[in-house]
Amino acid sequence: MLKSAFLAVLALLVAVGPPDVLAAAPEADPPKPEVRIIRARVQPRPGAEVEEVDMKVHASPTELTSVEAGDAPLADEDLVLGVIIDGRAMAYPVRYLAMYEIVDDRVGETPVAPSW
Amino acid sequence: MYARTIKGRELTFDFAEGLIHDNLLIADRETNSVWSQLEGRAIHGPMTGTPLPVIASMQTTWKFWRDTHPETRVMVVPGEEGRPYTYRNRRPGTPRPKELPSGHDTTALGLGLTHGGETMFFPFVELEKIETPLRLRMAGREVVIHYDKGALTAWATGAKGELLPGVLAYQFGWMDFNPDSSVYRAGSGGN
Repeated sequence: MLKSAFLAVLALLVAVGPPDVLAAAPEADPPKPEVRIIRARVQPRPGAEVEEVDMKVHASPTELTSVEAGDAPLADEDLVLGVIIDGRAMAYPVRYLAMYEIVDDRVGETPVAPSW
Repeated sequence: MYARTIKGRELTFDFAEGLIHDNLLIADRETNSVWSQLEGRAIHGPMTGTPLPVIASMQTTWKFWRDTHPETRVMVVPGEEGRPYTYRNRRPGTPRPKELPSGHDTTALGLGLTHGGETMFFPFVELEKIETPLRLRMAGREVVIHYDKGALTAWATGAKGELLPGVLAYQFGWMDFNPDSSVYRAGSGGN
């Protein structure tokens, strides 16, 4: 009885595969952001003591898209980080910075790192 | 906001999953040094102790920035809504409230400023009590503090009207990093 039940489950798995695996593997899987590890003495989480941990570091985007003010999909009360460099005004919406915490951009010739 | 050219070399910064003083860490790709975002200094790796060069920026509402700089360009992430953010005054590590309040709560927020070696924090609740701009001197230099409640922002300018590097922060966060900072109180000087 137990053996036949096991074989039935096995047959099901072979037939359709574990459901989670199927759901997580669409045909065009987007490339995962690059992650590397740095061992350092830091807090592993808010409020925690400092300890030596293998800290994950997530690659931030370096190729950013910008639009004119009239095309920005923002609400009046959205927060932005604004900067003027060599007469060029640039706004970094907090709602996008919060996705990455920090991004690598260039305003005119100046390499900048707005962060949140 | 920081410049990415440090000691003549352009660095690329990534987000690191650790904290110091409950504040964000970043790491550069080129040397794998780890930097404290709020302190603006490397805390680990070959660049340890090196300060990040600050670029004066302003944190405000989209409406205020667009109205004052209509020619601005705006970073977007096509196809993404991003993470809508409101000020919440919640100390890191404290339990998350069951229901997040809607709208901005700026009662613990203020402008942190380091100028000529002197460090000061200007709480919004104090700036609300006075007429701004507030003129004062820090380390003997003229500083003007501006506050706009509707734009959820305060900023500082120097003698020539230039924007000074300041940071909007919760008071507890600022004081963790700058325990010797003085805190502005309405009626305690200036103008």
